[in-house]
Amino acid sequence: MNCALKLISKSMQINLSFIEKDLHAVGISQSMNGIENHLTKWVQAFAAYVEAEDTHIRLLIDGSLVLDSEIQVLPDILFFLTQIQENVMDKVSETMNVIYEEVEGGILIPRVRNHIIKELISLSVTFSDYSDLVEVLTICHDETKCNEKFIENTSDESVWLKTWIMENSVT
Amino acid sequence: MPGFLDDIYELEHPIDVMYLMHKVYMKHSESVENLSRSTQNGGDFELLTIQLTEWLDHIYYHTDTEDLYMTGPLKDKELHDGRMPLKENVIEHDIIRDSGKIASDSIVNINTISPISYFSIKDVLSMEEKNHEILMTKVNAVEAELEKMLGDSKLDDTFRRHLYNQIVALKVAEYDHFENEEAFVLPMIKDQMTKLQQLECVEKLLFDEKSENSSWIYDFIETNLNQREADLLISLKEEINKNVG
Repeated sequence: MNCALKLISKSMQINLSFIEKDLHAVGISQSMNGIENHLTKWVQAFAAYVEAEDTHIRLLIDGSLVLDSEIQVLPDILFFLTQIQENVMDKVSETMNVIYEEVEGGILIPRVRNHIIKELISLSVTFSDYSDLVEVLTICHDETKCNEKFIENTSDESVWLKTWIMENSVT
Repeated sequence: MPGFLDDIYELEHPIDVMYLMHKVYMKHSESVENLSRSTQNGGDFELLTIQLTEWLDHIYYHTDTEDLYMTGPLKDKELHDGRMPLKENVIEHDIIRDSGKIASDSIVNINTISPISYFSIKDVLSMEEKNHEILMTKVNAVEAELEKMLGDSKLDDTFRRHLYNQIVALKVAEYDHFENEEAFVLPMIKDQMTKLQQLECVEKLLFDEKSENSSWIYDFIETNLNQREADLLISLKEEINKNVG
């Protein structure tokens, strides 16, 4: 079993590659509204990821984040983590802006599709940078409890998140 | 105007060779993009380096030669939306060169610059720390700590995904440029250049007189076309040989 944080992260990566594939099907089996909808759900999953991250940061839960540098860098690392988290959301906004500004009448021409894919890849790279950092700065002491808290309970959010993870768990 | 993947049946004007060249270049960039994507899961990095270098050699020669012999002699003409095609063309060439340099620098510096630099830690920390000396001390400390925590494997992944991102950006810049050039610059060439002037320009685009192997561009283009399109190129070469001294 993987903890919720890892499951959400994996699905977020996979979902971005699905969106990229879907872009090639716009006008055939997909619409631009569908793409926007996927991105909105991705943001929703990201919010869940950030919430899960907060409860996994090593120092915050048990003080086990030991840094052996002579200089105290932890506050800087945490500040950096917050900023890179904001960068992820900036990348989402940039992707949405390309969609709003360049797609006309729901018709996706190859040039605009390229621009959207470029933004999606940039988003994916930024998110991977972020999630790699999160991975080394976090720890999960009890995966069962973690999953119960975020994806295995009956709240609307958890039910939605669990369904979304299942839909985005295979490449 | 044919799309980049469409078959080309004739070259009405010598400068229409650009359709063949653009088609081959786009096919090559897509192949490099796919290779780069595959290197994120263990693909052939050496082959990627070779193909990326080949792509950049071609695109740099192509843009430099266009600036000198193709758009250089032309007179710019304002479009209905206020844009100036030749000015835009030069700007697009610079964007391609800059994007190409970013990708090639990544490859060249693979053993000397740590992938941690992709995190732009200095930019982020400078938002809080204004004293340069303290800032650099903090940046070095954070970089060192994160390098240690992430480890070689994750840092290698970081490098590969950022390179992929750079390659996609280059391909998109190239695509936009080719499309604009075909739509706005080629008609100006046909208006302003005689057939002989076009042939002279095409000769420069296809043959690198400064190289020991002057036909390296021509050979690459011809090899990557289907037979009918290659025949069009061969006929054009014969016409160049006949008319350009």
